[in-house]
Amino acid sequence: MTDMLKEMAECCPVSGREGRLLRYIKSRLEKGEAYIDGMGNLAVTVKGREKHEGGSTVFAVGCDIPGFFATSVSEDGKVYFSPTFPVEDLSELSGRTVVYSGKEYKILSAAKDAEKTRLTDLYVDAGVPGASEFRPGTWFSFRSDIKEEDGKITGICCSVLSLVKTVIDAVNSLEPEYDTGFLFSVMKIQGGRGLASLGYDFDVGRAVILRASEIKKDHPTVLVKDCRLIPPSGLVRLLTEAAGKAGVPYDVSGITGRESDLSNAVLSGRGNSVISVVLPASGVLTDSESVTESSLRELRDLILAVSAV
Amino acid sequence: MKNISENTGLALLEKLCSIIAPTGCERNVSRFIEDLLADIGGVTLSRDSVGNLYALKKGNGKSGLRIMVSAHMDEVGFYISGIEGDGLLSFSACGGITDSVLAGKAVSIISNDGETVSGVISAKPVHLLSAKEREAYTPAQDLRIDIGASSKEDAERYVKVGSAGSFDSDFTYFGEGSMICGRAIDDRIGCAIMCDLIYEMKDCEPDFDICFAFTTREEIGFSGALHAAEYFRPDLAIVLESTAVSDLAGVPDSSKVAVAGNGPTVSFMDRGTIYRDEIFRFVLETAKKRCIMMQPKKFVSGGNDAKYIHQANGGTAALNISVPTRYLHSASCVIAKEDFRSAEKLVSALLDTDPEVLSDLITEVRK
Amino acid sequence: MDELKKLISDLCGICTVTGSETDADENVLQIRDFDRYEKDRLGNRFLYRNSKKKNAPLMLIDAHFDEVGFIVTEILENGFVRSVKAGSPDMRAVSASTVTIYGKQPVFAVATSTPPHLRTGTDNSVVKESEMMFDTGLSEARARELIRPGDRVCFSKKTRDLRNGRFMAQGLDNKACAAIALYSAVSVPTDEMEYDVCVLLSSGEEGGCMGAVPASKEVKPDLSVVLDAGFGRNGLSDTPRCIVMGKGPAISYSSALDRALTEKIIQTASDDSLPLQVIVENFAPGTNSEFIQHFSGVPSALISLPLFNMHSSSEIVSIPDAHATSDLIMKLICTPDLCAGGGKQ
Repeated sequence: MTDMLKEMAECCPVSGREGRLLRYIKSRLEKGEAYIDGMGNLAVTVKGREKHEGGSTVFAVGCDIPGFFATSVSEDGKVYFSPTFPVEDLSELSGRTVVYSGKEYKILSAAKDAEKTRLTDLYVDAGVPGASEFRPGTWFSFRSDIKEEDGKITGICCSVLSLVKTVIDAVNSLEPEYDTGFLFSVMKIQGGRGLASLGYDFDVGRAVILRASEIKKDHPTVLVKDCRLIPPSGLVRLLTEAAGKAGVPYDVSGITGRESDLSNAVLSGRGNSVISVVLPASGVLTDSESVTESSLRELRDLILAVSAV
Repeated sequence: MKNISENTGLALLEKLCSIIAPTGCERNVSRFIEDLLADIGGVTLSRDSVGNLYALKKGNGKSGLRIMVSAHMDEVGFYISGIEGDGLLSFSACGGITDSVLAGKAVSIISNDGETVSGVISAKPVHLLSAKEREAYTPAQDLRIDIGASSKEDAERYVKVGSAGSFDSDFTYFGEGSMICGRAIDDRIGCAIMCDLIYEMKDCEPDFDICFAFTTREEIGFSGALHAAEYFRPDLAIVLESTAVSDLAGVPDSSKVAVAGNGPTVSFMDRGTIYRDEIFRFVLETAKKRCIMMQPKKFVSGGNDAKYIHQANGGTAALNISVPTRYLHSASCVIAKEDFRSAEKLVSALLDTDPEVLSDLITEVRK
Repeated sequence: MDELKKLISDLCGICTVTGSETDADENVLQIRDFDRYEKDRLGNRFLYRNSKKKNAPLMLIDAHFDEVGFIVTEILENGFVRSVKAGSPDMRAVSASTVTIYGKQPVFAVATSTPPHLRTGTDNSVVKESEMMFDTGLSEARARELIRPGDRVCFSKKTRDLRNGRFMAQGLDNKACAAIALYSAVSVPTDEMEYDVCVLLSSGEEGGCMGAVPASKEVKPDLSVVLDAGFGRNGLSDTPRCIVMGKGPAISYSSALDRALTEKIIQTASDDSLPLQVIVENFAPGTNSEFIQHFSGVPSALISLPLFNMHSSSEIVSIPDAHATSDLIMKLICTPDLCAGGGKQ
């Protein structure tokens, strides 16, 4: 499992630059018709015995990881950058290790007072010959040291990547009754931009958005509310009953706040019925980020159970 | 009042709970009870200068003991403290109502013509609050009651500064009929129990004199029961009340106080009184002997008229029996239906005790 | 009771917490008075009434049909129920209020409040979503039989008449406007209608205006008039956006809406001496109007009904204001050339 995750991490799928990962995913799919759509997403349809007249169940998973774009390179080899993800306290980036083109670098800070760190205080010291590899628009990400231990997958970005891998596993195990769609989407971190093409790529009956989040639950969690998204009550019941019938452990919860924006998924095309399922993760974006292997298996089984109805 | 039997038990409780009578307006309740008891008969009725209503049940002379059973008629509520130019009413809470249970609640205010007018406790719209303001409950002084008046003059047609009112809630059975949610359960439930006991005893004479005292002003702590004790000079006083419990999911047993549905409580101590151990044990034993559901109160909290009664007349033996009540002093007090019945059985059993046993108990207490 | 007030009361009596708009009983909607009725997958309802006029332009009258409330997440010991907010109910009004949980059957419950002995001295913080519980009085097993995660919860439905024709109920935001839209659309004789009318009872507004966008794209109207509740003005609520109760509806100037349509409506009201207050929004009003304008490209205006205690357990509107709003909408349906160019493009 971790070998594949490491290969996926090496694709460095920073938001907007997921192409290499999506091609990797496409090469690993054993089923379904796949194509890259206008937003850059990978849209996959696994044909069932028939087409559901109410539209297909479509599972969407964001493939981008938090990362950085180099914005300018100074003559003395300092690479300034902008993160692609929201950072509340910029001083937390100081001292973190990033990797680009196989080499590791530390983020340094010129701020005199850590509390008042500005973006322009942060830089990567690539040195004079080294900096020539960077130019504005070069992207890089945190060093990810993905490991498997005690039934857990650990390492920065392991939650996103293992979630994507789980979806790949589900596609490859699927024998669906009805046509089922999968959208490996781009720019999730910027507010689900890739989801804008959901309604154009598929005839959506219901969309299930899969994402990883720090939620205090043990099993894949069906959300009755995901920030501003309030799925129809019938859709909550459909998922919980499918899981219950197939004996798949699950939890139910609601998230309040601004963590996710699924309005693109709802408004795409002719308007869609959307619900979120969250993979519980801990320590997201820290060196102790982890997910449990059992919850990944349960999520795969949940996908299979839901696509059977 | 016809159909007296319709005015017993839960039907009576429902009627009593529908009367708006915050502290100072107890006459609304005492009038109803007076009419009811006059029809039932078997008691001598009188009132005193602080508004207490006494129903004296004379004994058969077998024993000289004097037992008082009391419950207060007043409830928590509001007094209108000001009428603003736009017709909104500022108010002052009477009794201990926390800020957390006010906003958005429907209220009834006793209007100038003696009827009631409906209103809503209103706050600044949540959308217009800053993030910080949203985190705290608006204090009562910043809330307003809206009766729909369009101006001060319009409002003055219905209410005046000093008008009184309380929560407007329906008496509702829920939990498939096992629970009751309503207003003023504290302490109309005590009043209802006493009326039921008077009805039960209407054709007989107890072995000792019993004074059923429907008292005033408990909710503000200037208890009318003090005067009741000084007037009747009981040897033993039984105070009937509602007690706040928190038997909610997730609350540890040690903080629950008591459990709704496990019977009425008897206290060994609350914030006003430390009850004599002999009396506390006596109640526990009586309940056990008669197989009546009952529970000791497991937390020192709350207070009641016993605080004044036990200090009256140089010291009076007192005990407190309460019905566990969730969400006390709010628009939606909750009790278990069975607890009402068990409380009544327990008080009845205590009043049915052999007078010699009671005499010995009181002597023991006075040692 | 007058028909409009009865319709408002009936609509307030059904539960339409965001995400459950289509579960609601349709009998109250007076569908038979319309020519065509449709529902879509997102919970939007479309009620069409056609003018006798040939090639009449299509006017969309939108009133969101969802209300704030709560959604069950868990059943705990002793039948206590945990939930999350749907939209933004006023959390200050929750403690010790009564609610109905719409499970397999409606279940009465009481929202818990912290008893005095468990409160810390100065803690006056509003109950958090994660702490709030509903007390059903049922055993855990029975609660689990009747209630499931995803079930909706509303403040108990109770009405009261206040002075001056003011009316207290739950869900007046926005059932009062939904009633006005339905009532107005069927009250105009078809030979006086200058427009075909589609009343859109849209879904998902309290969650972020999600229903009206695909709905308006589907309908493709020539213009849209959005009806929503606005903040009543009194001593508690006194910003420039607030509207006086008892003086009829208000129309909003907003850079996010269609200025020409807004001014034509103001003119129409003035010509007929119909009460209409005018307010100015700070940019977008926060209703379906700007979403329909922006995403669907339909010229839109916003008309607001003054309301007190928005999103709390007891909201208040003025029935005379509701009638005044309805009179205005009926007048607009009979007023030609409200939309630029007039007629289908």
